[in-house]
Amino acid sequence: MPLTRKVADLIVPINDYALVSEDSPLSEAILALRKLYCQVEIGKCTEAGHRNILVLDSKGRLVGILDFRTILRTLIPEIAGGLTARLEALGVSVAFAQADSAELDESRLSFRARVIKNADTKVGHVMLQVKGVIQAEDDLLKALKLMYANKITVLPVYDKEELIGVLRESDLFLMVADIITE
Amino acid sequence: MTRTGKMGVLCLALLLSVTLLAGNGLAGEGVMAADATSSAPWWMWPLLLLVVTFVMGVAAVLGGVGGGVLFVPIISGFFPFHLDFVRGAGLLVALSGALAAGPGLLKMNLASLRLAMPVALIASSFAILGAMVGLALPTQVVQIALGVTILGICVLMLIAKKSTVPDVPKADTISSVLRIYGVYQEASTGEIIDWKIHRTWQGLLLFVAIGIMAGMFGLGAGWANVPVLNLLMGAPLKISVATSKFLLSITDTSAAWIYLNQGCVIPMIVVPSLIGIMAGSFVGVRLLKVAKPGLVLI
Repeated sequence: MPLTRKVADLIVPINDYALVSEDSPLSEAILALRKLYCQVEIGKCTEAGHRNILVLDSKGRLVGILDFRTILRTLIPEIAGGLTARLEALGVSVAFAQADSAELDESRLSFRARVIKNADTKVGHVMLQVKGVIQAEDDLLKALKLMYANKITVLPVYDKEELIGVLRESDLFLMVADIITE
Repeated sequence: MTRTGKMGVLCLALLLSVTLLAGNGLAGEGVMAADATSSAPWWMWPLLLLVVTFVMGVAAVLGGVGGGVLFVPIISGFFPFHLDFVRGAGLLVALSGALAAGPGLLKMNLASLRLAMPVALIASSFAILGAMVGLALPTQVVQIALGVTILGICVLMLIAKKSTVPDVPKADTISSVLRIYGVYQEASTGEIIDWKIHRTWQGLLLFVAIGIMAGMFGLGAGWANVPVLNLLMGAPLKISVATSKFLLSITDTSAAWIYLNQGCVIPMIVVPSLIGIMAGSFVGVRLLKVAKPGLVLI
């Protein structure tokens, strides 16, 4: 029965996962994640690629996680961000409109320049907090419950105190899907 | 509608309000036109204000003028509120637009802090002076001065040309010492533009007058800031527009404190006005998108 298997059977080893320091710029994390995401199947990026990058402190301890959504929200705050960011962009458009400027969509026109600028943000400033961890000896059902309780898609896996890998929601899905084909 | 056409319509509206303003001023009616309004329920005025300022917000965006410059003449001309309350609310109207845009303008590297700071220091100091003078002078005098100023603004709107990137052969000494220069990327073409300014003394002196007028009349001052920064001092148009808006958030705050301290900022007028004009501005920008399908707003 698949769900009686242990977390250790399904983890992605830490050496195969993207890692970044919390003091690094976001651009470094983005390039590392892109490289790993597209290497899983040569020639194209697939759903099987890693969609998160683990953030470590100076002593190599796990302190946070970055996912696609967080990265996009940081790079393009007025689109992917909250209400404040969108109102700011609208405020800029109003400012230019009230000055009778033909180019109201400044926020869109300067898109590239701002993405590059925002990519300088330190990873530690925007990373997500680690919401749950699991031990390698725990069973997969416990991992699944933890993921859904905390609304997360990856769980860092520890062997006692040592971080040894990551358990992903996508691998759990594939495993459950196997039940149907068995 | 062409730019001149738009300006013409706005100027007509302003002139009409100036006529009413002058009527009020000469009649010496200070406070409320009590006879005409005593039978109206209290909530009628805030509601009417909300509707009028909403339309004004749309018109300001479509016409390419600041909300503050429409607010004071039109509300003081058509509503039975004392000019002091209208000026106080007018400053907050201009301030709200500036504060909404300020963070975005800075993040997009459009508003120049180096250009804004010396100018803001002068303009906000004199805006305080202007507010104190404006509140000390008899209302009739301020009303007439406001009317004259609005006529001047109409002329300025109709005749002032804009220069996208003015030719500045050499930065002057004071702007070099204050390090007022910068680089920005013209987003539409990707061109990197190094800009610097000249005629700094003359510009700063004009901001003395702009500060006094902003404080005295509560008009906001984008109509004056942009031509001075762009045409006189030679800052690129985009930098001038963004810095001018950012500048308002400093200048008008100083003056607004004086009005607040004197009890001239009353929520019954300010709250519906701010909501109306902000909502109107946002709707106006969306309407512009419809009017100019090439624009893609976020």
